[in-house]
Amino acid sequence: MSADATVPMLAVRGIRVAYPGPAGPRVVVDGLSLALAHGEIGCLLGPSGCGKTTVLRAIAGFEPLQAGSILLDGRPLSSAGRTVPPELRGIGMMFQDYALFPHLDVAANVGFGLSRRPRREREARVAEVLQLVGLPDRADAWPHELSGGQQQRVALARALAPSPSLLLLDEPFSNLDNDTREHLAAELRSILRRTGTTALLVTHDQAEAFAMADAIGVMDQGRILQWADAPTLYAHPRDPFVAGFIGRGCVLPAEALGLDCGGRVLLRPDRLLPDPEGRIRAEVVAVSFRGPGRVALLRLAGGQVVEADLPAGLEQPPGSTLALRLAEDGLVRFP
Amino acid sequence: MNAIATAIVPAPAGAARSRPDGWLLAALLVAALVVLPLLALAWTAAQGSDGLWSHIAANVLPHAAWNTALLLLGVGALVVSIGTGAAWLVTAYEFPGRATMAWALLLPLAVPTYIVAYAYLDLLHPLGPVQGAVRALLGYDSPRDFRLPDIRGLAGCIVLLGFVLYPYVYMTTRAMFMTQAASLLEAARTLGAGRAALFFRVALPLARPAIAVGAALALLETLNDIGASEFLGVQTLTVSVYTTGITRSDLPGAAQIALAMLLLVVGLIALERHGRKRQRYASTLRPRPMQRQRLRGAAAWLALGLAALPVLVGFVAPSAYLVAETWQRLGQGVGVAPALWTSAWNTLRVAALATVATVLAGLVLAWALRLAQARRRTRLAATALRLGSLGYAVPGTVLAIGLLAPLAWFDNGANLVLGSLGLEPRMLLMGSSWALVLAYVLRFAIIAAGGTEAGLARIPPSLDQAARGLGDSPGTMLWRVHLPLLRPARAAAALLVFVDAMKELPATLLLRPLNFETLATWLYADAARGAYEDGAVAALLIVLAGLLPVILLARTGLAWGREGAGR
Repeated sequence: MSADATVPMLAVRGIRVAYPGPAGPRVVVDGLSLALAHGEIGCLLGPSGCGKTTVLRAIAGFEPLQAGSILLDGRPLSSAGRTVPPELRGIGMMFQDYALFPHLDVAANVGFGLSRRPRREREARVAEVLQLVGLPDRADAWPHELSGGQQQRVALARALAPSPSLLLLDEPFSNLDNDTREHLAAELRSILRRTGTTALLVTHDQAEAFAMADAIGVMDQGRILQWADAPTLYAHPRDPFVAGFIGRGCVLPAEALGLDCGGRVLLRPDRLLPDPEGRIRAEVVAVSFRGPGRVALLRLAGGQVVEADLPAGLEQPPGSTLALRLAEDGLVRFP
Repeated sequence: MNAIATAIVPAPAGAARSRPDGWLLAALLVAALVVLPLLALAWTAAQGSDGLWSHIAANVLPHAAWNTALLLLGVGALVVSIGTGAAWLVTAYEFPGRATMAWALLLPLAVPTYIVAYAYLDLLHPLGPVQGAVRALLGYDSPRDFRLPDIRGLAGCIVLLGFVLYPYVYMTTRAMFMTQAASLLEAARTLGAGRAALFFRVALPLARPAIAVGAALALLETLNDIGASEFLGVQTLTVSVYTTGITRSDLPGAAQIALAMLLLVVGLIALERHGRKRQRYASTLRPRPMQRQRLRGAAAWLALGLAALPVLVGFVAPSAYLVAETWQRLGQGVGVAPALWTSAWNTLRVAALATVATVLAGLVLAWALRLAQARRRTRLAATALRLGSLGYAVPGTVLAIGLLAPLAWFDNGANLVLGSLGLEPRMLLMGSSWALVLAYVLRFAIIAAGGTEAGLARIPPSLDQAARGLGDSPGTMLWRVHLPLLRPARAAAALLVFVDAMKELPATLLLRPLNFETLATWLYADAARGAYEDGAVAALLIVLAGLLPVILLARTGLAWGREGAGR
């Protein structure tokens, strides 16, 4: 990522964040590091409660660090005992609920962070970013008059208006319906690209992460388990949790599939092929129709229930037994 | 009463298609009962008064109106500054004692306006403890050499009312800060706003609707107040209504002033409604407590002092005075007059009756609306609820003057019937404690109706559909499903109504039977005579009862001061 760049735009080094709790401090993020090059779009992906939003809030300056440091373009922002306040960081943030000011119209919302600039300049910049997000004619509207997608665009315009060196996006699509979501993800990425904005987003939805990010960090329990691009995460997961979280499939003991290598393997649904010669025997538990093909739930001899994609035309009533072969090329193994 | 009520209520034409709905009719009856005194007020005012009116209009009214305007302005400014400032202080900053202050700032709600005036008149008397201490401190011997400015007068009245009524603004504003502000303030910070900009550019404009609601409620209380302004010698419209109606026995004149006050009330209701409507726009955000900035050293102590000041002035000092006075009387073995216990019993009895009746009325209003919602014909039921809730805004004196004529009509009508049966004519409602109960029900119906409505809103409509589907009629369903589920809401409403009825002074003064004293009127008579005898005991009892709803409030969902530190 930033291997060839001189200084990364964002450098997070071994940070620890803890919340005070009734039974002493509760560590939410521990020893987490990441770096983003200029113009790179990164993503923290993980289940809810994994600490990803906390990382974002620490970068924005809302959470103090117990250990580690955060640097923006080489400038130290946070370390243990020292936190530059959010208003002095020059980092833009788009909030999950958009946090549009209900007492201000769209233009005033977008211009909020430009209050120190001369009026002329401010109005020009507001018009420019509203144009950028495709809402040039809604400057006089009130937040409650906008649709969810429009509110999201205004939130983006507001965050981009002061030209932040880094943009943070907290679950940017979680309040939108599925159709709007896909459409907007592509648009958001193209806007960030066009403006050359370095961005870090947080999501629990891998489709969003794949659609938006150059590099994705899969998080669990306050740590990044793997930091890589989407194809790498899918094809070469370095950790059973990443393997289970990215794409479909499950992690099984190798002997359940008749392999004698020991350890565990990642079984994707497309890796089990029906083959009369196959050595694997499985009972069909249920079959469901999925458009192009079918997905079967199979019970292996060892009792494990796994998913397998079946080609169209193969009729297998539940209860029948199926012979299968394992496509072993590129099989991911764990110790 | 029935005949009058149905004459006023327009026939429910829209709902008439289905079979007549008893709940809706009952709700409309309650609404009619609330509207009746207001219409009667207009009727009374139109009777025209004997020659006195020109005298009132020329001499009393302009002065009283001017005083009232100044009082409202002053109290408004004070409650907004104290309430908003205190709310921001305990929401945005962390300092020692903050969590305690967050709920303690509600305590002045327990002190009615007439009690705070009663207490401070004696506390700050030139020969009283405070001035004595100040003189001792400064080395003066006698009040002739040094005295603080007299608290009697408009300025003193504004300060005292401001310090007991600010919790209305504090409550609404703090709720706004706690539920709305966090993510907005964070957004503002990422856009470069510092602490001062946060308050003035985001928090304050956001809180404006909440401030308007709180201020409107505080000003309605101000308008309702009769004790404080009278003790402190401020001739307000409320005092004029009372003196014109009682001292001068000029009912039409009093009704005319009361009508003028209703105009003010309408303005305040409009302000409150406007505020509530604006509040709704902001409610799409996820509530999250905002992060407080930790203060240290002198700043922390200053914050604590600022937060504690309103509590000290509005609650601690007057209560300590009442406790000390009571202690002195009991300690000296003087005991209290037996008549005080009679008045305590009167208070309890009337307040209890009023509570039962009010909770019933509130239930009828809210339940009729619930049933109407299921039928998707809410207009009539919603109107009934709105009209039925109007009473809270009508000052007690105004309501009482308006009730006098209908009460007389009822007694006359009843006596016609009694006479035709050969029975002695007598006063049935007029001058009976039932008139008091009725006045309390009308004035406090909103508490019960609002509480029940909020409780019902938490019960999903699917429960209604399930119960109806299993064969329950609306009445059976209410009994078997909703009443049990509403128990907490009902208990809370009952407590609030009970305490408010206990404290009520202005309407009680006008409507009580001869020689019938409640704790509040006992205190009033004591203070009016300038005799500080058992009044302190009565006042202490009222404040103690008033603490109950404050405790209840402090324990509600907003978790005053107990909000968690993390997420």
